[in-house]
Amino acid sequence: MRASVINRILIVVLIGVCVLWLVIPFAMAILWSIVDPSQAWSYPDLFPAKVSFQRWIDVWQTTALRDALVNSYTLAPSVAITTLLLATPTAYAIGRFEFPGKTAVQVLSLLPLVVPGFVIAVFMASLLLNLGLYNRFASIMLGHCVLFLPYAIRILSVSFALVRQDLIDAARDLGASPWARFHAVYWPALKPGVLAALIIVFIQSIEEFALAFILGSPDFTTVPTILYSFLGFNFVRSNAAVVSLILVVPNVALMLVLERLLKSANPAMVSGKG
Amino acid sequence: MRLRRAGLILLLLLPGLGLILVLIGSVIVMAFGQSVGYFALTGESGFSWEHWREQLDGRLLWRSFQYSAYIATTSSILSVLLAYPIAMWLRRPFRGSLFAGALLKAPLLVPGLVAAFLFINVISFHGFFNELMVWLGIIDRPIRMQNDRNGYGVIFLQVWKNMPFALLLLTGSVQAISDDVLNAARDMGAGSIARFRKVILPLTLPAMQAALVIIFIGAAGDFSFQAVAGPTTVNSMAQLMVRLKGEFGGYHEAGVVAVLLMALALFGSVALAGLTRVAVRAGMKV
Amino acid sequence: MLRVDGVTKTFEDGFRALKGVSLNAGRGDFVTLLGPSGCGKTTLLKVVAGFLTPTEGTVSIDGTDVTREPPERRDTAMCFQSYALFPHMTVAQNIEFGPRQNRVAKDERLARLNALLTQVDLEAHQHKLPNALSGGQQQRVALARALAMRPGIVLFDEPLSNLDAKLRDQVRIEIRALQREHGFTAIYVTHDQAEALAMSDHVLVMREGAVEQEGAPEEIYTAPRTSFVADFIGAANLLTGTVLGEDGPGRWQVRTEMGTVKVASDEPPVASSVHVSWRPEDAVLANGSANGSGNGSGTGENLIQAPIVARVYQGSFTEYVLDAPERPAVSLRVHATQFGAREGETLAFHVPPDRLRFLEQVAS
Repeated sequence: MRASVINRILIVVLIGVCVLWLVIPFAMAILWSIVDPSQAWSYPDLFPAKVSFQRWIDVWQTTALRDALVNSYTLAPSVAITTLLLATPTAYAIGRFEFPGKTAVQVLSLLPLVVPGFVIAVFMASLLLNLGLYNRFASIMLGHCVLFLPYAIRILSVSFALVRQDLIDAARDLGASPWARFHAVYWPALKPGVLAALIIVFIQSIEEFALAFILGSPDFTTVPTILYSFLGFNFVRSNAAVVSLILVVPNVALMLVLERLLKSANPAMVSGKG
Repeated sequence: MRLRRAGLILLLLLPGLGLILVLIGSVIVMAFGQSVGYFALTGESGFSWEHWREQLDGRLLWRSFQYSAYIATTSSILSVLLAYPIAMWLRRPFRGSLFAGALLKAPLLVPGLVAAFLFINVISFHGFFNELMVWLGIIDRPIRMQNDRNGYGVIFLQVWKNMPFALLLLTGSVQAISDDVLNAARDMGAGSIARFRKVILPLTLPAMQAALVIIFIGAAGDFSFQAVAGPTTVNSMAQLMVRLKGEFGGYHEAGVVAVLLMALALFGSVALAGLTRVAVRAGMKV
Repeated sequence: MLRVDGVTKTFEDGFRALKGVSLNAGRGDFVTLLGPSGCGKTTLLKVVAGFLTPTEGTVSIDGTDVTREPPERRDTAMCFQSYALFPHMTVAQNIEFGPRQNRVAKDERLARLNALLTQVDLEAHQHKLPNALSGGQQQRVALARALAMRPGIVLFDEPLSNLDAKLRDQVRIEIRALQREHGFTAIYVTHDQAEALAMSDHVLVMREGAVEQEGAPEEIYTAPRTSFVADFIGAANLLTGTVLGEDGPGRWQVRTEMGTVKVASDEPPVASSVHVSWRPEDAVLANGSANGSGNGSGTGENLIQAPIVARVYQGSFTEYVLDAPERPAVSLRVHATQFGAREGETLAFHVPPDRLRFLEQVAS
């Protein structure tokens, strides 16, 4: 009884703290994005005097947001699919084979997470300059693939390890062709992992700033780089609010989808143990 | 047969791990190489300590190094300190614990730049926080909190973004300790502090070290929080590196900073993890 | 020593795990709580240990009420089913944990450690981590760790359930030997009736949160009072009987599925319609029964003749499954030591009237 009362109090405290650190910041961003340009929102007004979607229209019409959205949303799916294809063989080796140096392989595959992102960005730029390669889209795509390979390898190797050998043996014993075996045994175990890897890499690619900023500058913009430009010297609060919301909302939606997927999948997937 | 198997495994590792090693390897080689004068884009390319000497003599680099080390250490320790009690609280499921966990982990979904924007929105001169304080009568007129000199804003943002991550790792680790083990300790006379020190801390040490290392590395290499909310009087290492590269095309100078930043990330995080281990071991003995 | 009085435990979700359970154990007693899973035996153990606070009732140790004392302040030590060894501590550190917590002087602590390591035969492994040990060795570490506190009461929560059969017998003997040597009171939870009969001084058979029957192992086995106890402990033939009338002092005529039989009992049946049980090994094969000599001379009352449905060779005895003569849907089981009958033949045997037992009333 006593513990449950304490828990209730703590939850109320937590909700209070979360209002401070989640609800208010987001509420302010939403309000700033709908302040009508004709009437400024300033102290001591609690709410904007006049609200409209004029800011959204302005940002859309006057800035490079449209290009940035096109760039980000072409880049992210390409990165997600390419990363998945690149990660699968390595994940298969880690998940289904025992070999000397396996731990070293697992540790080394985390390398892109350990080297600071801006070091990778700056010296990848210099590497590409030295090699004389100038395609910005391809450079950022390659960089993102390498940067997010660790996530895909980790998730997929857990999935591969979950494929049950006795089921594979049973399928072979019953005369299943390789394709039938994949369909009946591998795919059910792999499916949640594949979707999780795709979604996580997609989100990461949309969010990524360092490589997009360094390799893409000055003319190739993504949503985060355009947000950065609104936060810099020409700070336009309403524009930044619009872009922030554009960046966050799909993220949250995708993560909710992911949560659903993982809940319906194997519990070992969710806890990430493997 | 064994050779064929080894060949197969190598082949399988090639597109994933191989690509990682080639690209990250060349990036590191580029950084080292350019810092000592190789791979020059213009002019002479050849070995020289010149760029190191030049950078190490300037005060800018050392200030940045110290600043980044300070931000990284403070942020990682604060995040873990905050996450521990919450992880303990969420160890056993109760009514509303899932909701509480989801609320706490929400910042994981917010990209760094968005977090920075939201934050400066709240603390800006005419932001919510100032107006609330004025309205409550705590202060007479708004105070300037944005880009504070001590980097508290950056540390706040780091903790805001990284505490949920530490929480994720620690909750998993704390939940993996069986009730029986804790009950056994209790049964043998260990009170709640002794149980925490002698059983929970040592058993969650790997998760705590992982959280510290990853947060440290991330915060040491931070650019966006610093650029938006950090002090204007000092650069973080990443910021300095980008500035040196950007303004003057100075890849050699940036290389020096990059090598030092990698060294900071590597040795700093290892040292932090090592010290934590020593502290936990000592705590077990007392 | 240990006294549990009318303990009831209702969990927050409304589940009543214990319904007014009482238990008494003297110093050095070996008391077993026996029952199927979900009967409340582990809950009772946790109430005694102090991990759970009862909703009603009291727990006292050595005359002191400890109902609200936390486990760390009770003179009990628990041996967990999962062993619950500290994975980050060596065998020696595990054993020393309790004495360290209780600030036992170093000399004394080391003396206890060394004595226990010898007793459980783990000197060679004292610097290993638990994960490097076999299941039996881990079990012995858990035992030594509990004993290092010199507790008055040791609580065992199914300590042998994770061991294989051979090892189980060995550890069972070790536990009894340690108990005799250290003189602690043991409260032992198990669902294995053979284990309960072999180890205990006193057995409490539990069912759905209440004590169904308690007594010495022999008493529980030979004189079960309900069909639950008769069936749970050992093998039993359970019949429903209608009492036809008295047949002399302490003898009754009862009509059952295997015919009308005489039952000799100190106590009269509780109702006219009553459950009756007998043990398969109490059957005495009748002389002249198909090719063979039976368990004994076999002249006597309650002669039953029943067709053999199945014959199961069990090594030291053979089990015959028979159709009850009056109602073939009911199976009877007879254990015989030397007999060669086959399926389809008829088995003739006696059940001595004093081996038939009246149980509870038949629910209408």
